[in-house]
Amino acid sequence: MFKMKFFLLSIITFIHLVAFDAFITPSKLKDSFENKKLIILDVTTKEIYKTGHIKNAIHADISLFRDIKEPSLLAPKEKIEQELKKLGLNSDSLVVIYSRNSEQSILSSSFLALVLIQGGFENISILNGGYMAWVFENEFLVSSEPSYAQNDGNVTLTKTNILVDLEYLKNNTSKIMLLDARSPMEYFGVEKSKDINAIGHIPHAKSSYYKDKFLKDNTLREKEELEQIYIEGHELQPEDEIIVYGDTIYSASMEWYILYKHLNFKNAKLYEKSFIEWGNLDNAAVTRFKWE
Amino acid sequence: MKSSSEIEAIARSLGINNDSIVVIYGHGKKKELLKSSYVALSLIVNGAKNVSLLNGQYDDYAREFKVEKETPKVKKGNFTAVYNPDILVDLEYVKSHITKIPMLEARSPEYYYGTELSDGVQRAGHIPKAMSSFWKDKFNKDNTLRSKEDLDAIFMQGYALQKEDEVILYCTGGLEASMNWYILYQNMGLKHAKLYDASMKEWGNRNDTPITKFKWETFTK
Repeated sequence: MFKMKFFLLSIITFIHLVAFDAFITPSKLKDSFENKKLIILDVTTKEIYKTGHIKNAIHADISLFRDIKEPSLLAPKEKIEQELKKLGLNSDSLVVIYSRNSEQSILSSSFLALVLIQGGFENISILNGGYMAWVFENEFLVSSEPSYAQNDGNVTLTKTNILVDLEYLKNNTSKIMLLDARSPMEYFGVEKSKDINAIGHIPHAKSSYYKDKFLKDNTLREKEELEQIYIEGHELQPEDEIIVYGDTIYSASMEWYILYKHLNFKNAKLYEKSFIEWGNLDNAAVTRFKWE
Repeated sequence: MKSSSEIEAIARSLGINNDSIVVIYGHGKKKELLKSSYVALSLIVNGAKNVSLLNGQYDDYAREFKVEKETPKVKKGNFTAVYNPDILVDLEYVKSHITKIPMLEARSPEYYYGTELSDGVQRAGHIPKAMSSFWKDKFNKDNTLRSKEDLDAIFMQGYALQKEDEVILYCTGGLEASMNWYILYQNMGLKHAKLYDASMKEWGNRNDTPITKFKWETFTK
């Protein structure tokens, strides 16, 4: 039974790889460099972008995709669409997103990936190992001259059911696998998450720290290890419904991206307001000091 | 752990008698907390009855009370070691009790989960079905022990332990687990708490022992 699961997952992932890797290697990106449909987006700050970036990469300001009043939420669909058009995105573009090595930058890349996928745009990839890995392998293909889109793109977004709210979560906690992407200390309840009153985790959630899926050089772990984490460790199957949350949408977005895009768990969803909503509710139901 | 005769000799040289009340403390550092629980374990395993750890260690004491610099003269004690065979367990015992009784690992969660390797341990991960129970989580930031309420929540509710339960504690090489053991055995009265002294330095360096990684486990009887 177990072997069968692995086999099926491997087949699905194989087909997927041929289309576009969820995490693209620097050498594969280099091979696609002449592709006219390629758009490379750098999610670091404008200042750092100006000091050097991958050749032809356009700076993408993450804050433009957030709700002005509530930064843990996405901006309205129309606003997102408008910003993506400014970046030159067409419906058939191939988008590669990359970051620097800081935690904030890494999570900005998965946040932008989430913004695109939840809008129905799936031709995207995150550069494995980020800018450092690129520089290490292709040191000449960098530039400090800012690049901009030549023309506005024509991308249109659709509505998906990837982002879920509190109501959905409450109605489904008992039947859905809930994954907590924060650190084990925050999950177990010996450390507080920033700006959140409650300590611990949402009842029945399992600890699944997004950082554990990466090696020390910020490249993704081998597929075999990731399968060990999710299929053996969490006993998940590809068709299972999963809800991921973090302290905010950012930490959740990377955990979600790995599941949805890299491992092809197509029923992986994300609790948009995450623990910063749940943990600040009056009488929030929270479990502490317990591994589940 | 050293042999009973060695521990007896050390205890006597420290002036410990059979009817002594022994209070153990360290200075500030977390590592010294573990030394104190390991000394307590060594004494209790060899029959010492009245052993306590000083909560808050030297630092808390020195804030409130007078301390001295002179090294006291010690009169040799008459402590007689009587080995209690029910506390320390070996590899075979652990192996034969996997899935039968709860086991708690005292290393930090990265080692348990298997994303980091402990010094001196070759294989990553934990003993199958053992649960993560980082010793430090039982202490507040100022090195004082958490409240009884918190400890009950961790051990009795979190791991669903009961007072009569047998439980095995282990870690890298006995030191960190001695604190979990001490809290359970001496502070919370779980008199069937046992310690696998050789821990991962033995288990994780053999190739005939099962190991689980990338999994947070729970235990149900």
